[in-house]
Amino acid sequence: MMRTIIFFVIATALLTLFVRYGVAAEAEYGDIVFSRKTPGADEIPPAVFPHWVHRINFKCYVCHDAIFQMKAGANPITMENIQQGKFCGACHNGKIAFPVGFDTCDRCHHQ
Amino acid sequence: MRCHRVWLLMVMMALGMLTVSGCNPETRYRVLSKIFEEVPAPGEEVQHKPVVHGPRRSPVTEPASASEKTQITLPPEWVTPQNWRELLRKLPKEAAGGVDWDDALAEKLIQPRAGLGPDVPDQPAFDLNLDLIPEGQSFFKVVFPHKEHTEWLACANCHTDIFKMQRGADPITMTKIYSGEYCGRCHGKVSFALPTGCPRCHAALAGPAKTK
Repeated sequence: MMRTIIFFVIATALLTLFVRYGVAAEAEYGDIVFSRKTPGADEIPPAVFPHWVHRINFKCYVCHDAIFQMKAGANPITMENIQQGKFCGACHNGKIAFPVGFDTCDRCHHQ
Repeated sequence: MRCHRVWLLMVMMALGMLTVSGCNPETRYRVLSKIFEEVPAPGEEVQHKPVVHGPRRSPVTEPASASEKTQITLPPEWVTPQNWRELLRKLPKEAAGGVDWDDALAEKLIQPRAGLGPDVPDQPAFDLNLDLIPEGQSFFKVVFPHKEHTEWLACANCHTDIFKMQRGADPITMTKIYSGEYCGRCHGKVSFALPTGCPRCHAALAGPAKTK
């Protein structure tokens, strides 16, 4: 009995948090959903790049074409590359923008 | 066993209530005011607050004209990562409903950085309007503003991979744009969309009153 109550309380709290701060972000015009090429990575949702967030903060020429080519799929982005400071890793290193790590997966990899 | 315990609890509560209600007024007040708010002190009349009713209908206000652009001012300290999505909703919109990034930049609602670091100076904007007139179809004349483009983009983003640096050298057609060439490299993907964005390039399509 007590266990069921505790379970429901925790479930409700988590649901509220998810609805409030959840990662189920709305899609916006200009979003790029990267298609997966790494085999066996299907369990993790693909990364979504929100152009609008980046346009609020940076001009186009900051990333194009020095970091990213202006064509979806033309950039061989991998997590390894990012950790080496290439592509997204040029900023997402904890210095300019949030770092790439296990506690920030769902900020890019979400449905 | 559990059922017995519940019964016991209920009987205890009933006994407690009886005890409290049987006490003299002072004790009852002391006990009840610990549990409930606004318990009247002994000898005091219960005070009921007047209930204020709002108007049954909200007063009618004239909706703002759609043609007038809403001026919004946002303090820079308000613009934090938590507010980016709300900021996106507040940014000025163009006729098609998308964000008018040029207006947002001109009104300084956003301050996009010019480099990865914080204090990189903007690349100079290049103010040159190009009249692109399709052969024999002067009505569909397009005025290409370099200024708005160079506020976001560097010359090398377009020249000379996408456009040659000579007016009329590129056979731009709407079909090619729709299939993602020339202007369609950005417009329809990130920049304002094609189908409803007609008058933004073909100024005459906006009607005589609205041509800039």
